[in-house]
Amino acid sequence: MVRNLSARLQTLFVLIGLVVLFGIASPHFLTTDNLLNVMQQSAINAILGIGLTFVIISGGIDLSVGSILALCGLVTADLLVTGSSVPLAILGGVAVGLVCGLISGLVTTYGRIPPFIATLGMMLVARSVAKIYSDSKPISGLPESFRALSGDIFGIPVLVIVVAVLYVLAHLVLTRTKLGRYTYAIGGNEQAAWLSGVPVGRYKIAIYGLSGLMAGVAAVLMTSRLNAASPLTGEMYELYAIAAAVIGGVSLMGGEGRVLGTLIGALIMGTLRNGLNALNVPSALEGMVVGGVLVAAVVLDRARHRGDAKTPVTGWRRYRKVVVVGVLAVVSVVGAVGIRVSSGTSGSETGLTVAFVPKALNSPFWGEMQEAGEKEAAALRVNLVSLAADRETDVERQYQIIENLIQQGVDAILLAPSGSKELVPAIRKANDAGIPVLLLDTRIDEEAAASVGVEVLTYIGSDNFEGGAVAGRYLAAELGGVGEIAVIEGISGHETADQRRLGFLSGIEDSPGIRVVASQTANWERARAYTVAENLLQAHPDLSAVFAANDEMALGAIEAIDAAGRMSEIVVIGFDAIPDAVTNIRSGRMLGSVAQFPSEMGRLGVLHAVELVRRGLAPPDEVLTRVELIDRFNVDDFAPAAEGADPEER
Amino acid sequence: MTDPLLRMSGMDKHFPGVQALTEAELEVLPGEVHVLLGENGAGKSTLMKILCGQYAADAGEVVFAGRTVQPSGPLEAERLGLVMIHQELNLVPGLTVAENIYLGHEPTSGGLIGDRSMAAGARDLLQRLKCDIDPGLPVAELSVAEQQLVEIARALQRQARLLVMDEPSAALSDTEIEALFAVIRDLVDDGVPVIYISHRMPEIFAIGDRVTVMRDGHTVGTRKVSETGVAELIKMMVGRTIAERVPKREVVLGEVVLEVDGLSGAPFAQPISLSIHAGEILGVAGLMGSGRTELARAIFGADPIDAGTVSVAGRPLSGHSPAESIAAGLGFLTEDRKQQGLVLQCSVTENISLTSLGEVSRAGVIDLGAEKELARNEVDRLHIRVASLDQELINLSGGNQQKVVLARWLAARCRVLLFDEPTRGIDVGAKAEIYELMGELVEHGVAILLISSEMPELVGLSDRVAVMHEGSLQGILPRSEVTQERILELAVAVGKHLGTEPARC
Repeated sequence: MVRNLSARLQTLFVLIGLVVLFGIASPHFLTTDNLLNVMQQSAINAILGIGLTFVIISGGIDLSVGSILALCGLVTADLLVTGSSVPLAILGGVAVGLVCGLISGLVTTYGRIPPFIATLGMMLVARSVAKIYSDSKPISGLPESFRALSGDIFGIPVLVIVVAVLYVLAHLVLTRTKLGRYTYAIGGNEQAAWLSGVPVGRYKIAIYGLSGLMAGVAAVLMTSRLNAASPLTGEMYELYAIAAAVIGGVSLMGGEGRVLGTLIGALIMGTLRNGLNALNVPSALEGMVVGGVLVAAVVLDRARHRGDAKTPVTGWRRYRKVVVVGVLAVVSVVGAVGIRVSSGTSGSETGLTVAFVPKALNSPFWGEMQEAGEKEAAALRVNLVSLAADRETDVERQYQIIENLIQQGVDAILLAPSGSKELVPAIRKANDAGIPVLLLDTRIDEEAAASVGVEVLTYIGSDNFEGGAVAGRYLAAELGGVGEIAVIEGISGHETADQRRLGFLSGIEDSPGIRVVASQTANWERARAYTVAENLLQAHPDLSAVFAANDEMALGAIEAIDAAGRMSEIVVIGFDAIPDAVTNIRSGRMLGSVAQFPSEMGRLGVLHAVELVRRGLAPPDEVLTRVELIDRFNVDDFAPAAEGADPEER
Repeated sequence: MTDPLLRMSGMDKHFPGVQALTEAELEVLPGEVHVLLGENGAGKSTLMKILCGQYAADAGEVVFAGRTVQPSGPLEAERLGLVMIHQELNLVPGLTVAENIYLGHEPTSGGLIGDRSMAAGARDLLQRLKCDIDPGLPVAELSVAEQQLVEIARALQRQARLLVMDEPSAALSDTEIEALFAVIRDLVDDGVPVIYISHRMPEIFAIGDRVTVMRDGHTVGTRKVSETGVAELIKMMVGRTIAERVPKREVVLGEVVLEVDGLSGAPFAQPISLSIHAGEILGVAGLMGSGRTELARAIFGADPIDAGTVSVAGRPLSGHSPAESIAAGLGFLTEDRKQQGLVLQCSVTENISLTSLGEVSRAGVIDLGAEKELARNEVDRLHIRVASLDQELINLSGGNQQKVVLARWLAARCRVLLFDEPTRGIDVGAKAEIYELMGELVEHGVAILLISSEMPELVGLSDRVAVMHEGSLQGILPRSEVTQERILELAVAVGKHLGTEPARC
């Protein structure tokens, strides 16, 4: 833990370098508001990073904090909506985190299993408990008083103040208390510490408890910020927190590191994301940059360690780390920007910028929407900026993207919210900044919206209920009114998923011979659907049809059915009519799919946004794009979506 | 007389702080089992590791089969036909016998490993050793003796022309040793001479043709086994009376402070009882693997015991953990300070205060000033040479590192100190300072258990010496009987023959 000053300052130099770099590259970056934004966006990661710093210095690892975060958030939200006072709800969430952490610590210490395994177990268990606890639905409708936690004090966000206080405390604990000292000793040489009389087991348990506690604190703050809690929040957050600690110089070998390093690490990650957003770099490239910085930091740390044993580090070598990391960061950023520029952002003549924020950009559905939107934007001579999180479940990330767009001062935002409740506060922020938000594809929860005074401008998207009903009626007719059916749901609690499921059930309502024998979620994912279908096939030998709430899941189910050799007995119907599904319908492997017209949504979204901003024409409350069932008879008439533009709308 | 197959002459090797070899020599004739004998640290292993390419000698010449050789690494040594089988076997437990034998030398055809030809080859090799282990079994399922045979088979696969075996019998039963000896004889008849490192007297006479004795990095001499005896060999190992005298302080002994009664557990062949008085130094002698370190660990509560009690100042310890032992006044200076003593990433101060943090903190918060002072006192008292109290340990010399660990125990004000090889790997000056310190400690009524492989140290400092051999306490020699010869006699278990139970003392 004894380090010369230059080593300590190296990461700080990298951070400062990045800030300067982004400041030069983007006029929106170096503003007080945006810098506070960066801090807020780094806050959750930074808080989780405190726990991870202790754990990693002690020679362990904690993979469970992301899941614990979700569970604690739900507990806090649940306590609040069931009428508990705000302090009690906060205490409840934080206490659950502490208990989860203590359990991890007990299991790894007394079960004598590596912390990697113990906390991997906790990660899965806590996530599962969170889903069961919440019935896989987000909890919202939190009292206004709780929102104060995500407000400002003298213009400084409470989140930032909390982080500052926690870091000061953590620094003191790590450097001035027995707990801190033993953390280093255990990580540096557990044998020696034990033989010196350190109660290693007890302190390890405390350290994991601390990590869980930090996850609890982060959960409370995040719940306040999103004004809702969801069982899906925090996926991958454990890895981001580990990355922050490692970039900050905490050695995965244990025995070395400082909390302030982790804070800088978290800020570097936050700065990179925010700055890349400011430069409109596609989010897909973020991982490349952050990953590059992470690996470079560790490689150089190793190099320094090897150097330690032999010769003292002198001359320029002392600054080698900062130089190389800096160069790498610059190259990554410039490279990313370069790719962005060469891929060609459409210039605008009128100076209007519309932002398109889908749930993710990882499927043809969003791709088609984006493409049609860009086409329309080009025709109307406006600029279209597309930004998305890597995963549809990463609500907090989408929230951050909206904050960043507000900073950039875009003229309108087209949003497909990845959480029907959690994104409400972000929309509120946009409203406050005078930026209209138009919803695409997915609605937000009206109650949650009303509770914070959010004005829902319009919804442009398919009639998912009607789509489900069409599929239900078609399937009932196909089966002749008799048969066992399984439903593979999307993420439950999602507006779209619920509408499709409910629509489907209403479609088969008139056919009493049709029985739904199972209804399970596969999280919209093909691989999950495969597993779910395998289990369904085992359990229901007489199954005759499967309805999947999207085509990805339908295709996963088809593969499982094929593998079980039951293609002739079971028909599958999906939703979205993505190209892969169309191919399968054509070849007869899939019965049909409800076609949506994402390109329509993209086109109409841009059109209405521009009409509104340019000419003050308010869009209708609801613009429903058509749905259509595609089967083997009409599949050849169905031209994949981009052409599906409907002339009558113009 | 036949020409020697191997001649090593003028071998020098220096390690930081230690001259491991000084003009050591060795000659091995074709067709013999050559025993290499010497106390711990006499230089046997170093010499053999130079031969097999693991160390580079500072000076000296190795002539093997008429050619001067200088293997740059174990692989090259293997190519020359020089193969060493280490005491800790070098097999991959999860791989099969055949895979282990061919590891790194897999027969391949078209990039694929030929499993069948490998199994067949392995079977042939094992047959040469007259053993019928299934080549398809994972090594983890074999006994130690069988694993050893796999190692030998591997050596044969490498076309070994000279085989070095480092204490191969350490973990074997008597019948297994007999079987091993039969294999060794066959090997020698097949033209592969064996260098056999051991300090078990009976084995030397059972298997050896000639024996070379080493001491303090020198070669003392080579004898034909048939023309020598135990007495002569022990005398060669011990040498003339040691020049460097360690001064013993005369201290009036006090009450018994450490009482060990009927301590038994896995490492011990029989229950162990002993006691140490205030102001007394009880030496513990024994060769490697005799159970000395295990004894200290068991007393300290670092390893589980099956039965027995440890009492400090009349109060038995109940919990059997290091933390409890320390609270009762025990301290344990481990043999391996890097692995078990120091936290290298932490500073001098932090290492010294580790055991005494409670004394310099209130409600879990450390008083950094008080901590510094505690460390400063010990650093001054022990003359630890540091640039600063915040210095990292990695840059300290071995002697200073050892003093830092000592300082930790002194700061904890222990009443009984268990010292395991306290002067290993440190320079002469630091050694003298540590002896001086031990004298001071006993004058203040501290009791010391001193485990050491250094005869002068044991003989010079101890009030009594307990001698261990293969997990049992052979006897405790009173001061009047403490001589090197007497200690070695007990340590190598003279009078113990293969196949007989150890005699009680």
